Amino acid sequence: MLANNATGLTVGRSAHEAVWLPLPSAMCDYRTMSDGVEWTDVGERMREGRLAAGLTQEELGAKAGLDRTMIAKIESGNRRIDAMELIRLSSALQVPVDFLLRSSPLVLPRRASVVTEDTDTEVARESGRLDVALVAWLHEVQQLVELGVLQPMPLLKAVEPVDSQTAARELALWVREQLGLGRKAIDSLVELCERAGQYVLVTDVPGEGASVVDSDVAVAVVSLQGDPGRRRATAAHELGHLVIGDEYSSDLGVHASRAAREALLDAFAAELLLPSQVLTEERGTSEAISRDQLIGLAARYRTSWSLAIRQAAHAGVLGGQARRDWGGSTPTRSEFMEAVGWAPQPDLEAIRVPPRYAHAVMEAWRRGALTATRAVELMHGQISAADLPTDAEADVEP
Amino acid sequence: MTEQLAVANPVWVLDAMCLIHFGRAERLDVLRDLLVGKECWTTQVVLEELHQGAVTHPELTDVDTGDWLKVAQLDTLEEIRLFALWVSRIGSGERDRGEASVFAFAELRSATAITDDQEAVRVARTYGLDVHGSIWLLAGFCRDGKVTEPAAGNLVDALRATGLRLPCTGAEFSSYARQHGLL
Repeated sequence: MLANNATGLTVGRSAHEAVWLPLPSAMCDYRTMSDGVEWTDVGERMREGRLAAGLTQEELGAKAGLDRTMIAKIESGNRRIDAMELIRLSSALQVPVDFLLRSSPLVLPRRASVVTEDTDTEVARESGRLDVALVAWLHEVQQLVELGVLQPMPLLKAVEPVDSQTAARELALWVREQLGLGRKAIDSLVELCERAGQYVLVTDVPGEGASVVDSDVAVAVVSLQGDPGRRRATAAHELGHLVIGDEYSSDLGVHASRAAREALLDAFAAELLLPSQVLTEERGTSEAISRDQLIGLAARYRTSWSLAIRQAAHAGVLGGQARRDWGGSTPTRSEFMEAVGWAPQPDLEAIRVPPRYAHAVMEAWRRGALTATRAVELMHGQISAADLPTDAEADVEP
Repeated sequence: MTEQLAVANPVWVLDAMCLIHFGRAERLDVLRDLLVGKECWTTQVVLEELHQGAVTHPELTDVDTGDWLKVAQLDTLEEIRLFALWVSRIGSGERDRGEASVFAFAELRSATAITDDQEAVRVARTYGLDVHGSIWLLAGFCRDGKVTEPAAGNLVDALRATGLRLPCTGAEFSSYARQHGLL
């Protein structure tokens, strides 16, 4: 569906899915012809959503109270849907009501594969569900931009093409410099990504992450699944997609394997989260870094233990034996907490949406452009209705 | 204000809230009689909401049996796109979707939407819709001579007794309506 072709940047449909479905002769009046083309698009989006949800036409029909043949006709663009059916179908597919009515944006390459009826695996479905969440999130950010309450930040893009892991690491340091971070630990990755122009949503949808740039708006979703260090690495990886951008895909070209491309992005993410120089400075004059020192850095820079070990190995501050020994003994939570003085370290869990985005939602609500219910929906669990002031309804004329 | 009311759009579209509370107050027949001569609509999405409510309030099953209320299906692409747009402003809960469908229809037909959800009214007006509540509706009936002010006040109390949040009591109806230029 919204996917990656061999060169990376895509318009996202396989040849199989792009087959044009002709309109039946019975619909050839002016109105249905112009409508019909667009109804075909609606049908295609529905099919994408159904495959991502892992449903057959019959199962979707049963959930939405429609016959299987109706589902088939809608998917082929041969039957319209009304508002009530739109509600039932989007509810059955667990997508927002406008999901079926909007065109797919361009999507940057990601880790998972593409879902079609021929590649219907759990991995592909997971990828499809993340795509759905990503597109829904893009629409929400765009709604606030269109309302004039959110000014998209300029996108931070690499000036030079990035064609090696070394270049990716240098780029990560350049990003740190551009954002005034130096070698400090990243406090809120969501906030950092927002400053780089990418709006990150932390979602309950299983998987890892996905990102997209549509015109001047860049968004990413990161799954809440997995440990906090993993989530931060995923968010940094998705930021890499934005910053490295087209140059990376065109330079590595169609011959680069997925693994090589992902390794390049992982190098970017690791260097962004925990710069090698920090590790060498921590080692000081010693021959190698100690386990306690590395635990301290992993805790302060909030990386996973495995990422900290990989970075230490890359920086040359870790002996080969230590890498093998430490890799098999992840520090306990109390060891990490001890290292940061037991101070709470919330990120990508309590914080679900970026700060400027959250402010824009509140501003739209204050201006009367959204109801409180909708504002709460857009905050994705970061606030409840009880958190909103109650005076907005005052003085509404009868 | 009175001049504005005189040229108010003759097409009205009712939200579930209005219909549900007239139904629960067992005054749907009164509402129907008062609306004679008006082009009055609701939407299929609202009716669905009423049917859900009819499980616990059987009186609501009467709502769609008469010919006094036309039902908008919203089944062209333009209509469902507008509906989805209003959902993105109002919300995606069941009640929100009913209101969104009413506002979509009101925008398409330049109609006057009727709902007592103050928050939804506030938002709909931001986008330029003509939208009012039951007090405005009852005051209009009074001006048309279809109902007396005391009878309208009784209706206000009956509606409030069903849990509908209204800005005045039956006893306050006349003064409130005058204060807001409705009478």
